[in-house]
Amino acid sequence: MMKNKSFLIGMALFIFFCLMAGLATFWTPYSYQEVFDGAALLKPSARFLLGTDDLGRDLFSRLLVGAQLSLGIGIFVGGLSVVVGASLGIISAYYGKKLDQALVQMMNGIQALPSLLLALFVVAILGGGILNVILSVTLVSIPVMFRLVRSAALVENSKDYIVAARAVGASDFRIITAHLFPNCITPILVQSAVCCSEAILNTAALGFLGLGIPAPYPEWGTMLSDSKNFIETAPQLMTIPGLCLLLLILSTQLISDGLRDHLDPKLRGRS
Amino acid sequence: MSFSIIRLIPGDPVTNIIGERGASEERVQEIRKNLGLDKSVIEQYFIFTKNAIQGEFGDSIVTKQPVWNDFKILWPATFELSMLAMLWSSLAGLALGVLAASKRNSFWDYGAVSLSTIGFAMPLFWWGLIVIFFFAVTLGWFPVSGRISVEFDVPYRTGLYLIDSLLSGQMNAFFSALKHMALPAFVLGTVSLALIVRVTRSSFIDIQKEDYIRTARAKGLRKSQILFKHIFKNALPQILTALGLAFGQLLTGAIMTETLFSWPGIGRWIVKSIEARDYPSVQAGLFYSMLIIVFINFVTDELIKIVNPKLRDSVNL
Repeated sequence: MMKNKSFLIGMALFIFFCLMAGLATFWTPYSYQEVFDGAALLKPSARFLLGTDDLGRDLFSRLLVGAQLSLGIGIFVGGLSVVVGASLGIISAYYGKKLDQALVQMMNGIQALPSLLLALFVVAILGGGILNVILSVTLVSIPVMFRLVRSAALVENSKDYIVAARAVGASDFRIITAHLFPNCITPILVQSAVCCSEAILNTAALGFLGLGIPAPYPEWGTMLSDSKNFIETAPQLMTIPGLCLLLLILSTQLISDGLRDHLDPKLRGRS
Repeated sequence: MSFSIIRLIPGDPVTNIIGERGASEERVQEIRKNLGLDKSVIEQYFIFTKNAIQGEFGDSIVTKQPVWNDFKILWPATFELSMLAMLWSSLAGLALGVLAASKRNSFWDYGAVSLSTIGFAMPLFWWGLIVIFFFAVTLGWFPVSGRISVEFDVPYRTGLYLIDSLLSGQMNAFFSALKHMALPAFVLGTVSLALIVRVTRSSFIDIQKEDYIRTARAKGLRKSQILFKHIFKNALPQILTALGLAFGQLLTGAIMTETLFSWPGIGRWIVKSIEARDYPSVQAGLFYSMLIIVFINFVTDELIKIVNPKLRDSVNL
């Protein structure tokens, strides 16, 4: 695993952002919502490391807190999609029949629309707010996880060791947790990293469209949307949060690529 | 589905029409009745389904026009933009993918792989901002918003400005429209580009290893012949699948790009309608987007069956 270049780069970037978010819990130069009078749109200086935004808030502090938000949402949604999507996938594959059909149809229904469009509608229904944004980006990430895990579990489910486990009288719960789950761990791990990056991207996209995490919170997508009008006067408002967003998404994708290559030797050297 | 989702949005469309200042109770009731909001939700649903099948979505609450009229005016803009984006991204994607696969582990290969990796991770809206910053603000080569300069008056024929301006023989208008379209199409095509480069490269590499390619080489066929007759033909199904996927993503991309460039198309229309709680428009937007996606999937499946006879008999793909 240590020889895997893309994994290493991804991990290094990811740890960097974790440190950024960690730093923000203890210390930021200023509060992210503190407005400095007469200090709007300042260039980077010793007082404001990365300059200030149009309302006179410190960009560096906002960036740090933004890392906390994006990373937190990404990890949380990744975890949630494992809990919900993966367990539904395994259960669906194990029990089969009507339950399976119903779940597959439900997921098809969710997937009928492109993920961002669906997230957009869910947020429009529920209104803004951090929880609703998380809910909507989780909802759109579940079907993909469900499909992958279900197809992996279907393959495992027909193998001899499951039949043997059933023959010795193992309970459904035991077969699912002790046999199916560990053997489906590869797609689950890889896909959870993908879910994480999708969640970060979709949250930022919602923020950019003005339907994401509401102001005062310094979400990177919202910050980008605010910077639109100041491209000429203060380009750093646009470049820096965007670059952070790109690198964070890139890091999670590299991690998922690296994980896949490492855990699934058949796919090695492809992609 | 598109009915239920939108009904759940909190907020009352009637309030949006009459504004916050308020109106008499009778007036409110009258508007409700005209919109069919006085009936029960179930009744509303049946009316909606019946009308949807007939292609009737009612009048937009904002523009007071039948929704179909709004859609009819807006969709050529999105269509034109998507087509241009698809055109450049598939041409460039194919070329780059083939180049990368045929010169493996070279500068081009690494370049193409990193480009597609970054392209996948790139938030489209940030990419758009950078492109605007560089090409429109700093260099001033391209306009930032709209479809055509105001001084041109192109007679409406197809709604596609590029074709309309050519039909009416106004070359200046054609170039103006092209210039306005260049940046949005460039941005919109980037995501598809990443996908197409990746798929083309990996399928070409896989096929190069096949025995029949070795045989073809041993027979002494020219490189270009092998490339086009043998490799390309066999890679086509995979590439078509990728193209279909890319088309599906275009709709999401269009929402972002159109918002960013104030492009008067369907994507911006949907976002605006959500903000204005314009039920009929959002319902129609959802319905049409689903139709478009289903149509694209259908066409891709059929095309793949044409190029890959093995799949013709299989019932479901």
